[in-house]
Amino acid sequence: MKSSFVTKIQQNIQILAISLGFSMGIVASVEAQETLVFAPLPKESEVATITRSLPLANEMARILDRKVTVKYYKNYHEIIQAYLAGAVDIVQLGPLNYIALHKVAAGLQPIVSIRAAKNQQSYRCVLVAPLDGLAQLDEIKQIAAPKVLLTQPLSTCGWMAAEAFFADAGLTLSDYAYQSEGAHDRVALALLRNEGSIGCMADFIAERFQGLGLEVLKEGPLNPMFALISNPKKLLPTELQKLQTQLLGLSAEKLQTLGVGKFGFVVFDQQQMTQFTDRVEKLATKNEQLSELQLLDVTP
Amino acid sequence: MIRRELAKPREKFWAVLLIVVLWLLSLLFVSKSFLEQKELYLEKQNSTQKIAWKAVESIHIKGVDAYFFSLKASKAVMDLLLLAQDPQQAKFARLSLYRLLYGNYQTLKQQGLSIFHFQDSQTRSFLRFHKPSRFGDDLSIIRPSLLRVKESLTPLHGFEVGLLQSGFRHIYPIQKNDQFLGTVEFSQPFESLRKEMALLDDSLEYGLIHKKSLLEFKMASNADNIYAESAFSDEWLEEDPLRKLSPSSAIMSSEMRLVGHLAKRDRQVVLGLTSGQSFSQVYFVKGTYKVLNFIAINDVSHENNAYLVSYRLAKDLDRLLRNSLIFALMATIIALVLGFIALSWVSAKRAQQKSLDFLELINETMAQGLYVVNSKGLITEINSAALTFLGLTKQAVLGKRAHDLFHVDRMEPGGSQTDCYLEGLGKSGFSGELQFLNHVQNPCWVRVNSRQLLEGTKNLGNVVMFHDISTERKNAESLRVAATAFETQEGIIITDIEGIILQVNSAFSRLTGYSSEEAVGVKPGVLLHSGMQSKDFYAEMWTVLKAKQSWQGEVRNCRKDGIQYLEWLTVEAVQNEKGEVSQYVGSFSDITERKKAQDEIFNLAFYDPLTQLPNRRLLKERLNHALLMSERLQQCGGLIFIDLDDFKTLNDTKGHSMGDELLVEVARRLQASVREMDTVARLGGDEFVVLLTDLGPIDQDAISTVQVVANHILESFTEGFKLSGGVYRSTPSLGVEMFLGKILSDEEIIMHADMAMYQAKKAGRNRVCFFNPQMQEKIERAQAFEEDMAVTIETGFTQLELYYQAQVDLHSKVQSVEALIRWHHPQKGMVSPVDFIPMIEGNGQILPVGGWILRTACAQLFKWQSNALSQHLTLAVNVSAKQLLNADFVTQLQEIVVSSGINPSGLKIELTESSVVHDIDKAIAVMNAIRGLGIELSMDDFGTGYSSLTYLKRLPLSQLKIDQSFVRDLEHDADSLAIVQTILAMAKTLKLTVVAEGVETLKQKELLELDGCQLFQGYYYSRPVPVEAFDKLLG
Repeated sequence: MKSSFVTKIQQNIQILAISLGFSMGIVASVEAQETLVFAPLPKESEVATITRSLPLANEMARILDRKVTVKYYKNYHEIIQAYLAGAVDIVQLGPLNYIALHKVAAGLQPIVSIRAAKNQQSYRCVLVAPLDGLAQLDEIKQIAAPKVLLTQPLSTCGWMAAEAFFADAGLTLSDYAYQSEGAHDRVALALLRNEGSIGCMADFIAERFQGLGLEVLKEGPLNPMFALISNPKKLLPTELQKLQTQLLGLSAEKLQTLGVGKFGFVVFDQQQMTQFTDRVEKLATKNEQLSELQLLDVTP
Repeated sequence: MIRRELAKPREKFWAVLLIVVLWLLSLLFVSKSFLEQKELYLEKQNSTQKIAWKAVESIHIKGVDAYFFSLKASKAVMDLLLLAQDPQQAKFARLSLYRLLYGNYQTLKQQGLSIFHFQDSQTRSFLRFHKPSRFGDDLSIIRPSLLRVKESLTPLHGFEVGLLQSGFRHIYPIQKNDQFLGTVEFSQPFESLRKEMALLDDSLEYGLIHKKSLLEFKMASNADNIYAESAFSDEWLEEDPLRKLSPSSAIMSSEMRLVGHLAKRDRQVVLGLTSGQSFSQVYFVKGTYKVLNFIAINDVSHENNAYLVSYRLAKDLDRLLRNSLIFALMATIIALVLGFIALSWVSAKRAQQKSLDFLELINETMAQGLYVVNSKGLITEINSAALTFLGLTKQAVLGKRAHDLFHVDRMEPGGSQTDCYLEGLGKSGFSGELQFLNHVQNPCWVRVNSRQLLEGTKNLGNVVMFHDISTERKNAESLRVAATAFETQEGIIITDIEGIILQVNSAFSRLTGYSSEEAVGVKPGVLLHSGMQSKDFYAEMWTVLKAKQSWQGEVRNCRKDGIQYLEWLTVEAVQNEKGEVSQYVGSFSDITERKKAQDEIFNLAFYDPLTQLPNRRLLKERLNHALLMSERLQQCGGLIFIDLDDFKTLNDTKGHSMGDELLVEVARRLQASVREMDTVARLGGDEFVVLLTDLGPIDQDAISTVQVVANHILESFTEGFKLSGGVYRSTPSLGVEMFLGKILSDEEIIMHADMAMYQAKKAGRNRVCFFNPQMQEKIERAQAFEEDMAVTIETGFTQLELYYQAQVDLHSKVQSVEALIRWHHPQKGMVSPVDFIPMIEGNGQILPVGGWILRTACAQLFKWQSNALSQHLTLAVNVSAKQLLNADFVTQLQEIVVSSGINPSGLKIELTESSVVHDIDKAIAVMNAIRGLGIELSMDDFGTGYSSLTYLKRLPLSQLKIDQSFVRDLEHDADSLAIVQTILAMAKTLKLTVVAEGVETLKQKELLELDGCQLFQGYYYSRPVPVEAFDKLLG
């Protein structure tokens, strides 16, 4: 199980790297387009994703006085590829994907960070289990057929965060069976239904299921929030400035009309991102599995 | 008529309108039927959908009931719910219940019950299987149905809007041992119901719309954009249009959305949605009908909060529409056919009416009078022409008998109904001429045609037509006159415009020999062509005829027997009423004899009958023409006046016939001497004229030419003329006048030539003399004298005076005296007798002047005879031949002698030889008469004339006067002396006294004396002097 997961990660990253190398030349030749393409985070169905993202796209269009369209990509990998190919100009990325893209695409312009919950300033990855399940991580060793439930492979609170929790407990994640549920809430519900022993997810999502019996066993360090990233070749500095200012200044009423971004926006915390990057790199050097993430540094 | 004309379009209009109305009614019927069918269809659709909805609703209620009861029967579930009543255990109970029923929920979802929701006894959400993370929220406000269930403890079923999703909700109270534990809700989203309904009829597409006002609370937190304005109304919302909540469900089709947009603008839909009742609406889109069924859905409180909208293609309506359109099309075709038939009928009727109107118009327009009488003879109809003719009104005529009104025979004595031709004999039909009373009540001839009006065998009366033929009668009379005139003495031919003979009269046949049958159909030229006229002649004739419509002229034609004749033909073009030539009428008469006579008259008028030469008249015409041409062409011409020398002698000696022979021969030779173009004319007597023309522009050349011709003429006379009496020689004297242009008149030219001719004679005859200006001057002077003399005569001879010249004896004693006239001209002074005596002798003025001389001389003689000193004088008065031969002369002389009281023996009349010899017999007679009066006679100028003893012996003379020409030459000319001596000897023999005149010298007197002359007269003794001087001379 563990080897197949690693292989899968490797394959994905290889494809990503080749694609990046191929696409860089294209990026250089692409001129600024009048219409901006926004690729939101793929959380739901294509229609729902687009529907939830359209109000934000419209708001950005209003601010920039440029047309902004929404384009759906199935996963982060496709989003990054599209970005490198110049097919998208503004992307919604989590911190780990930001690092991955940053490795191959210099000059990324973070616009703002997006709150995923009310008054959120940052978030953490947490280790969770049902209230009648494990009370501590190391108890996992005592149960039969333990199973770790994860979100997505490249999710910040996915394999990397879980591995960090396991490492802190003197355990190795790859020694246990783990399963990617695809989304944080699915991880929560599956744990509540006793379909897994322990899981890792974002704290603000875990919080929603605490009333249903989900318990947080351990909290990780603060992570940068999901952010809107722009291609500097497509968005002028003045436009970037304007966009940042106005998105940060949106009223509560206006935010109510938005899907993506309905909880508001905060200034992209570069320091936080740098810290997160250092942490990821350190983690990678300690862990063989994580070191494979260095492949992200391959430049064309 | 106008009213009818106006009515015609209306008929057509009403016919068309009727058809259109019928057509519209049929369309209305079709439309109404279609609409009714459509309404029925919609009602049916609506009803069907409502039933379907109810059926699905009922099925689901029963199904959910079964679930609920199985749930309620589960002890574990009930225990957990009971455990949940303890707040401390609620969390655990929720987790346990989630785990326990998660499998059931998956089953329920598969069956369309996507919402499985437990509420606690406080009406708070306890566990949402569809969203487990969300619980604990108070639903009492937004879900009043939960309270109702809690209060009633009875289940509720109904459509309700939920916080997350609307659906058909089934809420059941949960009790255990009378303890209310809460409620459980099963809910089917619309998509689930749609699928159920689709099973009933998959041709329908469904949509669900919610009342916006009920969702405002949700709209405020519609961050996920679950609700959006529906396609059917702004006031109604569509839930999850993009199927976020049920991605597998199909979103609303574009067709349904398109129809929805139509419905949105449809007031019926707006009203229907407001009413809360189910309704259906149909739309015609892209050629087909689409139906929207709005099924009212009530919430658990039985209030309308949503509509189930079903959409389908209304194929039945399409079919119905198709059928209706076919029906409408058929109705239209039928209407068109009916319209066509109606219009045809109307047109036929109009045509019939028009025909009737036209007949009436004809009746009213026709010049013929027409009236209709019924079988009783009463007038039932009459036209305008008849009324106008009769001078009656229609009212005055209708119902009356024509016989009583205007038949003339009614007025005849004893006239009765049976006397009427039309009502009696002519009842079955009459055609003839009768007399009707016209508008001035005068009988007027009319031609009447009466025909019976029969309907089958039934006699309806008579139609009588008549027209005024009085003019025709007059015309017929005129025609009879014309026909009579046609048959005149002149031949008449009538041809068509091609010249084909249509008619000839009998005179034609008589004149040409061709009968009418032979002539008709043939062109006149074919019958009568003589070949004497050229083609150009006929072409000219037709040109004039076509231009002037008339032609006249002489034509030489040929009779049937081949004899030519000359006709005077007049051709007139006859025009028809259009002004086009329709016939030509030629009238002609045979003018052959008349022409002959005319030619003879012409010859007599213009030619000398003896020589056949042009006479003076024709000469003048030709001369005038020559002058005109000379003027025009600047060509010289010449006129030669020819007079035969001594012709009179031939006449006198050989007789006139001989003279005529000579003249004829002279004419021949003259013609032979000139060019053919020249004119040789005879003016009369022995005077001929030759007119020469075209002699060139230069006068000298012309003169030379004339000289040559004149010489030819002279030469032609050198040979003797062979006359019946032998060869006779004659010479001519020729006078020539040249001309260039019309400077002189014809008379002046002839006169000049005549003068020149006299000049030639004076010059010795047999020669040519050209006229010169001196001749002219002389003549003009003579003419002036003549006019002045006329004035003198008219004013009592005041300008005349008698001078007296003495005649003395050997002793120079005046024995006698000669009266000599003198003219004291006012301008010219004393005019010599030599200058005017010949003139007045020529023009006849000598008679009054001679008369005055005699009276004056006699008066003077009486004075002298009354004086002793002069009583012995003899007064000699010269008398000219014209005076002498004047028939009244002797009478006049006698009267003067008597009146003056003189002794006639003292008066002596002096005559010249020429005056006597001209008509010697008559002269002798007159002289004897004078001698009978006692007056002496003296022969003046003796010796210059014939001086023939033969006639001298016959003359009753008493004295001879030796001409002064002999006396003048006595001294030098032996011949003159011999003549004088002879005269003196002859006078002595005849016992006549002799007076020698012109004695101017003594020698002359002596010579004369020696030869026996006893009286002398001349300047040697005395010039002619006035009477006073003479008297002094006597004294």
